[in-house]
Amino acid sequence: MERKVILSARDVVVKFRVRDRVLTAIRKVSLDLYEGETLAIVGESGSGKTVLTKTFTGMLENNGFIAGGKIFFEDQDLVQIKNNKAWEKIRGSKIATVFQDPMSSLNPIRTIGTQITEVIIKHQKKNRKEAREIAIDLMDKVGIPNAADRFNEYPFQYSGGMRQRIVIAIALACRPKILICDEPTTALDVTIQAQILELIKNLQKEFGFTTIYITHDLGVVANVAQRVAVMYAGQIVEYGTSHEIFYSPKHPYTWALLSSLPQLGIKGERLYSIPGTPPSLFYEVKGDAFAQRNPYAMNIDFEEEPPFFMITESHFAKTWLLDPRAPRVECPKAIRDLHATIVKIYGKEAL
Amino acid sequence: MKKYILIRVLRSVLSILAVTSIAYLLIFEFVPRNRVFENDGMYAKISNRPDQLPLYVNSKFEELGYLIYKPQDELCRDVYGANTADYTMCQDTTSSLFKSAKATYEAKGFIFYTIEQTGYIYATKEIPVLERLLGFYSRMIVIDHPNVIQDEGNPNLERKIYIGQNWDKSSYALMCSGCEHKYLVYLDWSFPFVHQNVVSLYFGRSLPTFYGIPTFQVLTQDQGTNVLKPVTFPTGVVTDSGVMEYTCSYKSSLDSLETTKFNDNYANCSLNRNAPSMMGTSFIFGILALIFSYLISIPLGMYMASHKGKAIDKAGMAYIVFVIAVPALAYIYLFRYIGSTLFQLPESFPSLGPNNMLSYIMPTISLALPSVAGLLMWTRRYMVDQNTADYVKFARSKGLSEWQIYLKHILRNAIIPIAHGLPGAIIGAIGGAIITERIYAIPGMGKMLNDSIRVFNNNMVITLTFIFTSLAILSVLLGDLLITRIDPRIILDDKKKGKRKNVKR
Ligand SMILES: Nc1ncnc2c1ncn2[C@@H]1O[C@H](COP(=O)(O)OP(=O)(O)OP(=O)(O)O)[C@@H](O)[C@H]1O
Ligand SMILES: [Mg+2]
Repeated sequence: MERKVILSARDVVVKFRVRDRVLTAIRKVSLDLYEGETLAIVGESGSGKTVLTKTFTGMLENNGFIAGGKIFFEDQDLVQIKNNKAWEKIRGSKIATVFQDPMSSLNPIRTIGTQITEVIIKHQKKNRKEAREIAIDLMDKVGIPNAADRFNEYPFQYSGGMRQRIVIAIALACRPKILICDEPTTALDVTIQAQILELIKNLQKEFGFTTIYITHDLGVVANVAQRVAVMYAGQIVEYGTSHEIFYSPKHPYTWALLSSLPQLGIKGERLYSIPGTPPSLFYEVKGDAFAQRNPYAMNIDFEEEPPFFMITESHFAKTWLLDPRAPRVECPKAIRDLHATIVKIYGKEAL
Repeated sequence: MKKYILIRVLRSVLSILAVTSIAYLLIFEFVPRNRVFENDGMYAKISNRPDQLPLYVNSKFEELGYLIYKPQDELCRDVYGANTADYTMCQDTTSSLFKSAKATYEAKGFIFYTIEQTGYIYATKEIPVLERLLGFYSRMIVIDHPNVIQDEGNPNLERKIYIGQNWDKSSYALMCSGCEHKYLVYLDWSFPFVHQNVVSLYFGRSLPTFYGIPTFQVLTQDQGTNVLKPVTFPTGVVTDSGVMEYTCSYKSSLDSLETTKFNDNYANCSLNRNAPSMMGTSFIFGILALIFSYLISIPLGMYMASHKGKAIDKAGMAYIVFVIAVPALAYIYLFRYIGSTLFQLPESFPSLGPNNMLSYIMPTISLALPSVAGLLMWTRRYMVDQNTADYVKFARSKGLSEWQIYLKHILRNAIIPIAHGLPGAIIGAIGGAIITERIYAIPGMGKMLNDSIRVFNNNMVITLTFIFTSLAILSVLLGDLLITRIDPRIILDDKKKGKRKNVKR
């Protein structure tokens, strides 16, 4: 299947100054995003998912900087953009972001309506009245009942789920090409989560944007994503279609991550958790960053960083286990049974 | 909403009364009353005249409201009326008439004293402090009406309220005959344009400074020297005069000069002076300092926040630490020294006077300094916080420009804490005024408080306590009401007994 790449990151390195030291949060990440797809980025807390996507909108905190690499989007290299003015043309209108916490993403003392219309006025050069119509239409689309009446209400008059719908409406107000959802449902309760996921899915069908979905919840991944990238300690260690990641994961970190899925836990048994902690980002990592915690680690893992090995056209993993010289390692049983489990939980349509 | 406001206003009034009452009780119960004589020349002069001293002391105490004092002849007059035969006979303290007068008064709780050297008799009765407090409040609000003036020498005084014109016929006013004031409601070009003389406040008379003038009047009347201009008096006489027609009040007997100018008894007029009243002076400084401190600290705080850790930020922090750590008195003197040596600014307010702009610079700066430090620190911290607030990040990710984010999101939200901080700033300005006005010799309320405490002008101290407390409490109320207007999350709920209802965020 030949598809158009909409955004392409090459060897991106992101560093942060912390007091007098420098930590490297993203270490040479390359990533292609295809038009219209949903890509999920998963990984432990602190693996760099948020930082990576922030580079796409120039939203790194002041102490952070891109130390290397290129990010191509619409014939320009986003890494070269230095001033806010240029970013303003991209943020919101071409690449929009939905953050985790809908409770605090909206300004508490401005009406819902003005917070939606301000982006429409800014990017689409509409007047107040036109913007209002577009906004009410959008509110309708994201499922706010009596949108016209609720236009002038304040965020505190909305429930958490409704607020996240508004945040999504704002993000989509200017028909962006890419929507980055950074854990958009983590702060919401389970039934609302499902509704919001459904909403994003439906809107994607209608508007045709590309989605990057950051999440800890592999159940969510199974539900919405066509492709998955697994991050560990500032690197992508494996990526492929959801099918491939769930059916035949190759990286031991992916195995560990999947094994720790709460949905796979058996009642009464202790849920699997990955032993150890990720390496400190303040120091250069020698060999494979996961080696310390990897029960299948070989000597080479401590010596040299593994390259990406191709498994299929779309499936790549960065582990020495795939080297022809490595011993054959059987993946854990829980992983082999994963598909059946997922079907049992989410039904046949999942994956 | 209305009910909530009403309750808040009532509560504020109660708080003001509570503070004033406590001040009143403290001053009149615990400050030894003899200390009023410490700066009294008259007292010093007669202090070795035991025949006169008690009379002087007791008449003073009566003026101050501690007791009721009845000298011998007043006793007789009260019982038998002035200039009667009985009154004359009563003067003889051995007479039966005097004895019966004495008995009446003893029954009322008066205690009688005889001065050994002269045999003169007088009586006193202490007024319980609570009774005095009640009296203080019952006399506090004075309402002018056509039956106020009861003048035996003028039985035919007309009693009416009418609409009339001022002296040069340039404006209409609500006027009165029989009231204390001739003009009840009038218009002129000074703020707030509509003025009234109907309701006034009375806190007793000022003693020993500003002898005998009601304290409130001392604080509100203009100061400085008389300004003369041609005035057409009601009789048509035109002369250069400083009289202000709207202040005229009743006077029972006019002198010959006044009769040529006035055609009624309202000839007791204040003079137009060139300096604002004590209250006016303090307000001018308070407001100047408030504006100055906000104008300086908010932009500077924002600038410091956006240049966090740079030289300007460090300099600002050093200033904040300095002002907070060093006592106010010390740095006000320091700044005054800097101002006078480097910029040749006057060291005291009266040296150039209230009509010269230069007089205002150093006092305003001194008054604003402490609040600048606090505000600066607050603004800087607030801006740093806001820059990482989720809704600001989201606004940025929407593609709004930094300006739009500042104006529509950060600054707008900052109004809430600023409004909340305003009362504090006002209270701070009042507190600061007491020190600053003394150092620069500014004739305002703060200096008056200092002076009054020093000479035991108790009524004045209470008046000022009342004014300062009212300002503080009303500004808190104002701040709260302001916030309810700005912050939609705060709903004033009628049903919940007027309690503030904070809707869950
Ligand atoms: N402004 C910053 N200054 C210093 N370090 C930072 C900064 N932002 C992120 N980091 C570091 O970069 C690393 C990656 O952070 P990031 O927020 O991308 O993790 P994440 O994968 O999104 O985690 P989570 O799932 O908890 O959101 C972390 O170790 C974090 O401490
Ligand atoms: Mg994150």
